[in-house]
Amino acid sequence: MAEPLLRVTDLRKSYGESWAVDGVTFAVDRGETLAIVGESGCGKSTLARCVARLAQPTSGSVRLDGLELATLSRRRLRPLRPRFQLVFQDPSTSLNPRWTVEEIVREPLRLQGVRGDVPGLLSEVGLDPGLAGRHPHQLSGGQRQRVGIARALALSPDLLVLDEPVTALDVSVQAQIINLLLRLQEERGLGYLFISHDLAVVSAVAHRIAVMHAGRLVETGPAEQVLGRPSHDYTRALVAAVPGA
Amino acid sequence: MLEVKDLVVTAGGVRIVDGVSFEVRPGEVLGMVGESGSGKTMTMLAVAGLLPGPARITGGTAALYGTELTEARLERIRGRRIGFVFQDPATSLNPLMRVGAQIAEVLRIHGLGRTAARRRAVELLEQVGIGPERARVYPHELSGGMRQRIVIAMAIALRPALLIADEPTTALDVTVQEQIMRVLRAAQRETGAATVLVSHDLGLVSEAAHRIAVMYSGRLVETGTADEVLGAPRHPYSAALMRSRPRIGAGRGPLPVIPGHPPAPKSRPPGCAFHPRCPVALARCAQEVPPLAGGVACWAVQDG
Repeated sequence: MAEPLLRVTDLRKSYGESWAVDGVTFAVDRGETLAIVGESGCGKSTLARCVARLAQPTSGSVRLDGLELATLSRRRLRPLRPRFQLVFQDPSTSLNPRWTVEEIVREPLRLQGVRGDVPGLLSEVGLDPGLAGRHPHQLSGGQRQRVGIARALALSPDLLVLDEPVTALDVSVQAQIINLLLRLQEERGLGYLFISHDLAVVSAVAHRIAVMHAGRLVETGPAEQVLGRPSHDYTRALVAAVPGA
Repeated sequence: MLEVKDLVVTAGGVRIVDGVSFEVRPGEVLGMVGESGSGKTMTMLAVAGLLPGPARITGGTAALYGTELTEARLERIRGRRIGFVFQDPATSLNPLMRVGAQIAEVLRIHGLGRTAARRRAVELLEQVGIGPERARVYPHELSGGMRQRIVIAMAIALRPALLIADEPTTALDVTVQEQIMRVLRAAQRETGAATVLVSHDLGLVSEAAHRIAVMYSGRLVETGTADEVLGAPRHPYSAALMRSRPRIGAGRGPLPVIPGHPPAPKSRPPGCAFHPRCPVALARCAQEVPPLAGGVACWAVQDG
């Protein structure tokens, strides 16, 4: 059987006495979106940070294309960084306010010492390349998130870890960014690990859904099954609580 | 009964609320929806006399049972007759005071004696689903949902004629949201207050509101019953907004989007503010602001 793009096995992360992530196992294929859903404090953001190696897992395995990331030193990890990138919830805090759009999108290219096509990246995420000289505060929330996505794409990753990427956006802008993510996935064959508390958003993007509660995955399955015929009580409660559904 | 007529709020020379009129009857919940910068919060802060910094009411009126609210001298009446629930309970609670005492203080300021105020505070706690033993805890000892219950108890303590809830559950988890909305609706029914629920969340509003008002760039673009506005929206903006919202059951795939983004009030285009993004805009839409007529402010609907 071919190795999936991302395979996470029995991942654990503790803070002091408590386990934020308590034995989590899943896989994400190329071109596939796995959504991790759950409420605040369930451990989903810690999980995202462990997968992207912004946090060091306490134990367990994170394999990208079969290569173990969890135990690599920062130095050994560096050449692999281009292959997985993180997109954050709030673009206004994840983008350096003193830099221009051009500088922000170019930074990962510069760090890896490679050339890149910044205007091409901006066009690809639906931004007018004429905005390259602007600063983040001169952009709308949706434009800022497009900049965050362009930066994440700069090194042609295989996997994007998206942590609540549309949560801070207005409804009409949220739909635009969801569509952008769907299009980029199709064009580039990206794997997405999509972290969200919002089941309606997740239903528009996810092939599969894993429901996280108290550090563990309580249910995993195809999106239509988890949302339409949830088997775990906690999933049922989550689905039932979505207003106006 | 709250009656708002042609309300204009100006900040830095820009009309951030631009001629808004609506009514809320006793016992009724009006859901006020809109995206960022639509003016929904500013409208309600103006009604409540809580406009921040440079923002001023520069036109129109807001009256509660015939008493004009927009005059500064009515500070005290406002405090007694309007209850508030904001998004972040921390802004409404004193971190150094036990929660029971905070509720009692609201009552004492408005004339209740010490013992009566304490007794009533315990009743109010029970009403929002908090046991009397929790009266002696401090806000930080409670979860976000519990803190929001305390804020609701304070908001209804004086049996306000108007209850304003601005994104009351936005900061909370979805399962807690549901509980808080239940508490809020029970409190609203019990007091019979005219209620305005301000939210960007159409799903939330659809479950709680009798009528809906949709704002766009400082103006009301559509009003009607919740069924009308959410089920068969007539303004092209409301219709597009409903369509663009992801729904469980719709399955994976692209959403129908509105191109562009809502304009900030200072760059509001002439005519109908939505016309540059509107699929059915007429020549007239770029020149004249359509009035709210028959529940919808749209030349294409009114002329068509």
